[in-house]
Amino acid sequence: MSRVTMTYREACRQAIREAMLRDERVFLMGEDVGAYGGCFAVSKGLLDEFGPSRIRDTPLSESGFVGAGIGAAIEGMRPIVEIMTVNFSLLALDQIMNNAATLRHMSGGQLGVPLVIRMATGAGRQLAAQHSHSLEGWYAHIPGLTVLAPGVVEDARAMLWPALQDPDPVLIFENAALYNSEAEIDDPPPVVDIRSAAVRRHGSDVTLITYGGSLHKTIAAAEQLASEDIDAEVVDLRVLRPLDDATIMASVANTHRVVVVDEGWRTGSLAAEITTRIVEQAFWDLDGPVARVCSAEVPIPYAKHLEDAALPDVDKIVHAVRRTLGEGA
Amino acid sequence: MREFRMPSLGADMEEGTIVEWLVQPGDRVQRGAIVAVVETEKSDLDIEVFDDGVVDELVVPVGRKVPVGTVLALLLPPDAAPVAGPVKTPAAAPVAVVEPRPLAVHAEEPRPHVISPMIRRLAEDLHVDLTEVHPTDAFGRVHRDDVERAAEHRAAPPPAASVAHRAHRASPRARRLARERDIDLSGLSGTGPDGNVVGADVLGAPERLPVNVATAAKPERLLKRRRAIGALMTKSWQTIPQYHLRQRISMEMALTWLDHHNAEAAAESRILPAALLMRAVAVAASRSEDVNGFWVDDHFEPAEHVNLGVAVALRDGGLLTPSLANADELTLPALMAELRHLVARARTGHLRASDTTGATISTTNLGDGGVDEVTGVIFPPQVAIVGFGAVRDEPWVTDGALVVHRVVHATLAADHRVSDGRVGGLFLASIDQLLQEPEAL
Repeated sequence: MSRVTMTYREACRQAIREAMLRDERVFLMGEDVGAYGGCFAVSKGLLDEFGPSRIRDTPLSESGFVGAGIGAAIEGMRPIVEIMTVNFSLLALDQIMNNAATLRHMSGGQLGVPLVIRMATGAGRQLAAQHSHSLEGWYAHIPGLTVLAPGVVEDARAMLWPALQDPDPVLIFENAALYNSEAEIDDPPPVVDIRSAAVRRHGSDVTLITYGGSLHKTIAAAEQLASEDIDAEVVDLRVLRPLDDATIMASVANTHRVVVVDEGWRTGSLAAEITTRIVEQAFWDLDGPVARVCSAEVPIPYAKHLEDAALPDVDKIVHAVRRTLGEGA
Repeated sequence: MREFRMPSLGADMEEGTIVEWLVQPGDRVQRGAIVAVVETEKSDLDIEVFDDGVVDELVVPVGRKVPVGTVLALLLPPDAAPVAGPVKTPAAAPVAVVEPRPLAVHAEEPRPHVISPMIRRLAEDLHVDLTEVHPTDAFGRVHRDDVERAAEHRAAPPPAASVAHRAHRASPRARRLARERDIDLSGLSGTGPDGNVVGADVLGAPERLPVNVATAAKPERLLKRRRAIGALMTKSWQTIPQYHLRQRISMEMALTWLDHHNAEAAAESRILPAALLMRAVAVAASRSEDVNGFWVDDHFEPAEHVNLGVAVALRDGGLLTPSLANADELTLPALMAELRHLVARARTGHLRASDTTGATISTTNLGDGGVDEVTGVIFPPQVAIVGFGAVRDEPWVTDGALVVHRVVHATLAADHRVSDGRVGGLFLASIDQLLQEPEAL
């Protein structure tokens, strides 16, 4: 086994390549994925390698091409549908929720939809409110879907294949701020499951629960806290639905204090769901209220300073931890 | 006799439930007084009595639903003497019974004031002791004004009380731990946010003197002991460059001598092999300066005498290492007697201060448990520990012949900052040599 250094973007591309090479039923479909190479350049070069029948450019019609993907999946293909950002996925929400997520149940098990939908999510690049929201928590609400949020290069590389093996629809959220991040990973990539969370840093004083684009901020916060003698454990959810309660509760039982970091809005959020589960399952292990660091409840602003102010960052996480531990803020 | 009936409290009211009686038999009531609380489909309503009189009997108990017009209570005329003898109250329906509220009119004795949750909260916020608030309401209800007035007139502000109140807040985990350990949370000071009691405060708290000391006091005591051992051993492992030596020692001579000695000795003066080993260690240590003493402030301070530390396993877990002072000067029988007492004191938790300080070198003997050998971890600031396993029959070569000897594996862990392997080897050889001439010990 060797090690290779690659970007998150390259990891996504290599994952798609691997899937295309391993399974001829796999194809990629979406806006600008072919000639343009993908809005975030994830599919650059794939058209040349696999040709237009497997790397398919679609019209600007999310509902149309997601629906086509669902049909292809039902008929035995293994489509990877790319939606430019989660904001635009709302145009396909009817297909995702009313068809992809429900057909297995409504057909009494006769129709499965082994479809993978990839989309970018998250803010931080001054793309303003219509391109910057983190709505993955909404999808995590829907029974019938598996929702993944690779937060590290390794998961970006490794999660697509098991997602394609799932007999039901899987949504993969790639935080756009991560595409340029780089890491050394195993080659060939490790086999990962798409059911469990990962503890990215072990600690004994407080559990920081996060995923996706907030993971690196949270790890940075944990490192800063370490210099203050606060030993933080970082749990990377990786899988937003179904949530890995066991890993979360085991960590809480160890640290007794929790801060949830979620780029989504606070109200009705994934952070709220996690907090509730902790209260339901680990109440008697808690030494204090669960704290949350979420995005400000505004449409994500365009102006840099306002956008920064609206998002979770290292300072906010550190402050929340200090408050939780009663160290003052 | 007048009848007090369930009134119609609205055109569409057909029945009502008595939630609370505010009067008792014998109470004198005036027309218009509130005597009961009735629950209708819409809300709880206070109901007034329509006649002056003395309550004779409450016919309908709390909790029972009755149609409009049902007789609820019987009243005697106002000039009637208060009822004597047993009061007539109805058997309560199986519903939570609420304390009757006092009726100010002719109330015969003080009754508990009626205090709503909101008022309790207000009193808590204003640090008002509700038992000292006198309601101005005719029915004994404490109102917001009463509490606020009490707060204004309070003699001295009670910041201390406020702090005490806050300190009683405890986290869910603290509550669980306290429950499991039977600890009174109110006695704890909190180290969490806002001074709240958190789990660590409970774990560090002395336990309430339990009925069964042995079981209830166990976890915390053991936890502390475990932590202490852990801290010391971690320090040893992290700061002392330790080297380890092992030597097989034939116990044939020593045990043969010991068997003879014990055969002739009274039961109480018999000597255990362990004592013989310790005596050998003590004498050898007194001759080998570089293993007996302390590492202090980056240099070695040899000790004049040998205070021999003895690792004693405790029956409920953990270990203690009391020491035999001046072990090098104790005769073997004296050492045996001291050892006996020391182990007994350690195991019953009655060690003396002098037992627990000043070991200059330690021994650990796990032969009882049957292990072949034990490599000890040095107790800082000491610089060496000698370990002994079980004495076993083993093959032994002597004068070119293979024979069976009783053999013990002796190990040495020593501080490389103080001595080198050669010194340690000589030390173990010295122990060996002493054991070959047991009568000299």
